[in-house]
Amino acid sequence: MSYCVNCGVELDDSAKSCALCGTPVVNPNKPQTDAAEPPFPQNVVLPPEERKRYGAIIASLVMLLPILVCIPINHFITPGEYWSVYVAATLILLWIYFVTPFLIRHKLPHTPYISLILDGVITAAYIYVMYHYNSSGSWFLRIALPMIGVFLLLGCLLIRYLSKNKKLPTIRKIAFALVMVALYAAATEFIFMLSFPNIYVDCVALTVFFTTAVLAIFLRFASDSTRFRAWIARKFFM
Amino acid sequence: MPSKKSKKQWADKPWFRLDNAALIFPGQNTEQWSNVIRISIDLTVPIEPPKLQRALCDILPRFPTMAVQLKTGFFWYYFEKNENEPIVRPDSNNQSVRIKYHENNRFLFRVFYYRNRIALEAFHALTDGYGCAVFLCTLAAQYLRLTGHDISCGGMVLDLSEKPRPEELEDSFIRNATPGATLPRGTHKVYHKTGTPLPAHTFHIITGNMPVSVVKQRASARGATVTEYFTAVLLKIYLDFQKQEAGKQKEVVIQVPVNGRKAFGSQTLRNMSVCYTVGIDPNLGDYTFDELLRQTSLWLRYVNNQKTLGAMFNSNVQLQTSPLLRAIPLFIKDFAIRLSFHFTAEKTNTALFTNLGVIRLPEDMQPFVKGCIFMPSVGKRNDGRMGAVSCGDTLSITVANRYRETDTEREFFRFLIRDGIPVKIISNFT
Repeated sequence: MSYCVNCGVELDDSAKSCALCGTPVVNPNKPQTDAAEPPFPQNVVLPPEERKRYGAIIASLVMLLPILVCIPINHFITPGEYWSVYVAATLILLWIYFVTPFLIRHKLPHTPYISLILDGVITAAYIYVMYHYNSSGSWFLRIALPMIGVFLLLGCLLIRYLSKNKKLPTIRKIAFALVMVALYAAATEFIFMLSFPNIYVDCVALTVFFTTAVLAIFLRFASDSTRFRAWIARKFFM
Repeated sequence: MPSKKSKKQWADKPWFRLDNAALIFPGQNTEQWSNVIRISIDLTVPIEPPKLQRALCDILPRFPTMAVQLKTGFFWYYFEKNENEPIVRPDSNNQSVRIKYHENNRFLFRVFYYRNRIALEAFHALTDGYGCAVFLCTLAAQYLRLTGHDISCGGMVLDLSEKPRPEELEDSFIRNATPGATLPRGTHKVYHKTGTPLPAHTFHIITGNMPVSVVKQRASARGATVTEYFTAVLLKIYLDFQKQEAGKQKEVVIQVPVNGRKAFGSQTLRNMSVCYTVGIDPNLGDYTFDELLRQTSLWLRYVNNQKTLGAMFNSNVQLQTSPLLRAIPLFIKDFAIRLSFHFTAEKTNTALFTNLGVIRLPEDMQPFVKGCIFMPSVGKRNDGRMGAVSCGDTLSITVANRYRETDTEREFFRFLIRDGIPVKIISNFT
């Protein structure tokens, strides 16, 4: 029979520390042995994961239905015009965006990267469909693809930074996200300048670049200052 | 007497409605909020699983309200008779995890064994603490019979040779509601003590065992009952916690479920409890423990009567019988219940103290029983959800906590120690 010196409660024979305050049990008259069985079993039995895949499969079927209906209608009733391609492309885009995260969850390593790249690829494909049926010129290869590529690269960097530095203060994370936005704006400006040097677009992207860059640098250095953090906490407490 | 209609419902129908209190539970059965009650009994003999399994199958026909599965109708959930056999399983460290409707052969309860202990975990839609206690005591008695002991019936041990009585199966809320009477519900926001959540499906469970006689003596020395005494202790520690935190001082409200069977002479084995709340506003000034105890005991004695209970039942029954609400499809009802519970429910109370009372056993069974543990469902937000039960001369209080911090338990049991009550602690976290 041991008591917690801190709380005064009697403890179970198997207890190595007080369950209330964590003080270790030291009883010179009764050295700790592993013989005493604990009052509750030690094995943890977790229930199986939520089965969200059923919902995802049903959603997939529901999204498949309009495609299956539209393609024959388009083919037999209005041959020559390819309007059902838009329906199919839009639904596939939505399916990849919103349904696949539930289907591939916990199955593969690096799930966030895979989801992001998959989303990028399908976005590129979707834009290509629109470009192919609707538009002319070379903007797809010269603008759309590079911009999606840069977006994916910066997105992967952001995911890596956030997953490696979970314990950093939120302000630092916001600063890093702003750096990514600034880089994206700069890349946009650069891609436009290279592709269409003759078109003058008022440096919209550069404005975004400078604003976010200044804000990011300010937040990065301000986050090191205890006084600034205290001031933020004082001003924005809820 | 139950009406002819209810008799017919039980005798002939293979399905029945959920009782009035149970209606809300399936709608809010989520990962975060399990609504599973756990009660366990420690015997002096070790548990042999095959015999326990047989005992469980023996007693199940006597409890038609437990031998059910939950089905989804268009407007409401309903219970259907479950012809399968429930499986007894070894106990685990993480107790009271969420019930899934398809597990355990679709039964809504689980039976566990560990060394000398039989434990029952039941979904709150089936029954309340009293119903669970009756089921578990009958199971333990049948188990002892199978191991060669002669156990008679009486108290919370039901006679397996008699048929289920209609009054055990009725929805006592509907029968005892006072038509036309309503009471407002508490909707204001109160103080909550939160902490670092533990991983999903793991909870801190700390049980303190203490002698009933000493607790009764300490409570009666101040002119209070045991429930009033512990409720006041909870109020005191939460008021002290709040005082240490910066910010606006909010009201501290303790929820005290009360068994409606006593007031109405009901014998139902389904849900028959409603919650009173005891609140103290710290903005009125500092309260000493004796003042808190006096407030608590005066308030509980003032509200605890048949009239208030009837009105509280009716407020709930009205929702079930309103023609407008009845016609709403179930998935919308579920969504609305989830939404309303998100905004009210635990936000309107700080902690819960439920006293199951004395476990009444037949004389020849008492030597085989060492003690009982009763644990209410773990909160979604609140840390202190306490269940008390007395068996023999031991009163055990169990705190179910979803946070890593054990401040509430520590202050609660330390208060009892300071007040001269010896406490022995066991916990699932060692």
